[in-house]
Amino acid sequence: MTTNLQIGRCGLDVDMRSPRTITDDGTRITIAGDLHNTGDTAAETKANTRLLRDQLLGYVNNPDEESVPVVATIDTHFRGDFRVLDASVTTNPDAEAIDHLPFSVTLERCAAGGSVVAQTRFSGPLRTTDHGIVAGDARGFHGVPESVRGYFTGGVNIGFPDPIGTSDGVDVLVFGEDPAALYKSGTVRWSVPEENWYDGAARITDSVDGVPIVGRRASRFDADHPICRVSNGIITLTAYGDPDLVGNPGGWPTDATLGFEFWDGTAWDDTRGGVEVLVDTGSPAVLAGNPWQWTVTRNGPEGVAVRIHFSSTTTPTLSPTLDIMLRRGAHYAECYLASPFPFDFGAQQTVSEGEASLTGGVASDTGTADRLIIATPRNFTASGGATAGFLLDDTADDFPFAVGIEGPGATYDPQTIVDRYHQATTETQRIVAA
Amino acid sequence: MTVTESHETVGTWGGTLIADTPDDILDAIEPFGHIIITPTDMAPGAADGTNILGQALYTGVVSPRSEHRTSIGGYGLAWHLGPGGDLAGGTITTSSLDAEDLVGTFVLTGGDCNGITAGQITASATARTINIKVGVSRLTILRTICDTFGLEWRVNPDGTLDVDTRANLYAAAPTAMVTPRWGGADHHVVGFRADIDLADDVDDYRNIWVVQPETGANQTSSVTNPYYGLTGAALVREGFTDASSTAPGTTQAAAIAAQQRGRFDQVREEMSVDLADAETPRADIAPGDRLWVWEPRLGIVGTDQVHYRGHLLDPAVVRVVEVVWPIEPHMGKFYRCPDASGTLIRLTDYWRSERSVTSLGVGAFRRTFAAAAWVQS
Repeated sequence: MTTNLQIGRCGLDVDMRSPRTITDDGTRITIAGDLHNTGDTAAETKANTRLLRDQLLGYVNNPDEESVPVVATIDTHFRGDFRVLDASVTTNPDAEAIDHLPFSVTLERCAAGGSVVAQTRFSGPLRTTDHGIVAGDARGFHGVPESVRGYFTGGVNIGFPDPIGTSDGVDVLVFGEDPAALYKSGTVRWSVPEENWYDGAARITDSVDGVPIVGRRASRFDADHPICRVSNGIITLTAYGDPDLVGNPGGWPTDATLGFEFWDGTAWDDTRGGVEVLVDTGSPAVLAGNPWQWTVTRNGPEGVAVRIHFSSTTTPTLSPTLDIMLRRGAHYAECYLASPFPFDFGAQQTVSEGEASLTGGVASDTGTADRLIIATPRNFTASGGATAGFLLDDTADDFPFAVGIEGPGATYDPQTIVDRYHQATTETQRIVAA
Repeated sequence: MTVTESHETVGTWGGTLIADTPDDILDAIEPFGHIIITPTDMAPGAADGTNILGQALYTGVVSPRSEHRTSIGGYGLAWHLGPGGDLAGGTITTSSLDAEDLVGTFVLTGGDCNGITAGQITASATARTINIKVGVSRLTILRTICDTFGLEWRVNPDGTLDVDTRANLYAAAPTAMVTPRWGGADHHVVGFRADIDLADDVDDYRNIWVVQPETGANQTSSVTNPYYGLTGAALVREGFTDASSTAPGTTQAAAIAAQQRGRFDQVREEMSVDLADAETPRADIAPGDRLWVWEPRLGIVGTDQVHYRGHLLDPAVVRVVEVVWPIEPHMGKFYRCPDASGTLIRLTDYWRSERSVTSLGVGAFRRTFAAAAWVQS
């Protein structure tokens, strides 16, 4: 099916059929029709149609995407950037049986229909660190789709960006290494065609063949939604739901073990294994528990964050949460484990590939490229064994760490990844008048 | 209807009872009684007029009634100390006393002033002499004592009066966060999504201050204004003090000039915070508390590092001076009769609850042009 209409992600991941009516008063347009997608099977048709519904409604009151790109091949008059003022979808039991869900959405043109650009604001501190990493080491960065045009820094010379291949089939351009701290507390303006807005975007999925979800929400792991996965087309981290809830159809690791994959240029590579998150580094070490619920705390193309809720069967009062935050263009995910009680925390690779020391972290030591990196600003003791990882020396009730990859193709050396992680960045982007 | 609580002031509250409130309940609500708000409702008989004070989120005095007695309102408990309260008699010049003795003698004479009793009172032995004039309210005396000793005060919902240093009364580190993007409770931080606004002006801005002493040359203190005028010359905003009667020499005049310039070489800021979708934020944020505020679009960032909602944020630390909060449907509403035994009447079923947002007053700030650091005045 030819794509007729996209409202943000709705219609991008799963085709959306032509709307029935479009009412335009010059400032606002109201689109109405039926949400429907014909899949290969009846079950797929039902799932895809419901996905369209969930994605469209995810844009209502969405603080992470104040505006969305609209692509309309049916009439280019309707393309541009819009704010979603409201949307409604009627799920009539009879209509659901034939998978046609009547919908209506009202959009308002950004900048009153004038020309627009994206503006990104960076803020965040240099992490308080026990490793002597200073502002000159820690580097901010910014990842944008490769179709970016007019990247305007206000006169700061930033050199050329690094093109990083993603699973979307297009590159993300990563600007960085900025001595003037542009990517630590500044703003840049840039522009990208509407259809490329989500290229290399950070995203969250909840099933194996998952399509990105839109908006914030909380979900319980179940058989239909057995995982929580964050990805930016460069790396993915996956939390696997409690086997009691999901049945573990993939024979996945249990307890607090994050699956890790990276895009090698042509396919996802999972040979680095994953990372175990420990809350008690005694002997035997205790994993943080089984994930039973997750919450989206941020869901925009520039960055996503999810919170995984663990429940320990051995210590019922132990209910740590693990936040995972991933930005577009990042080679690492920022993780933060918070526990109700102080523990000696730790993190270690699940496969044995040896270990190399870094300042502020460790790397797997395969003797080749694409090494796994685990970093933390806290004091730690490297495991020093066959498995890359570390144990924290200090007992605390929280544990910030990062999981990343130097590749693909050794784009950045492992220490660069650790240094970048030390510059915490909260990046927000808006559509503004050009 | 809302409660307005302000740091070191009396504050107000207001509420409305439904039209179908029984007459005997309306008859019982009389002036000088107390309204008591608890975080959650309690079953009839679960509390009495004494032990409910320990559960109270707020206790206020009933004063005005209108609308066929269904509209009621009044003031915070400090009203008992305020104008019209029990006046201090005569002109008294104290001998040198410490703050605890002064509070005990002149504010809570006999240990009880209209039901206000001593709570956490500073144990500092530092003694000073103050003068008290005839007809001054106990609230005025209390403020004088606090100003003299560098202390702060608050009246708690159970009727106890705390007088101590800021450090002893309020936690040094905030535990609550407001941001425009996130709300909700983390393991170690409670947060609220808020509409944060900032108004600033340079009406009082002075980058040069000149002081004229009794003898000698005028003394000047200055900093560079980073902004320029229409012709490209640095802008000057200048202040002047005639200190010829108080500063005998140039040394004192120079000190005054530096001090005055330091007061006015900053932008004046006022921050307002309206909390959205929050459930009983008053339980987590009280007047006088410190609060993290993060809104980088308005430049509101600081040097603290706080993990919140998956991000490491760098919020500014501000002090809450006022909390205006709604009396929400799930809260308990009680009336304590002004009789000797403190008969308690449960009003929850008759209270007309309305949804509204909680607003925080953050007071005035001054910020230098160059620095992002926030300094509370």
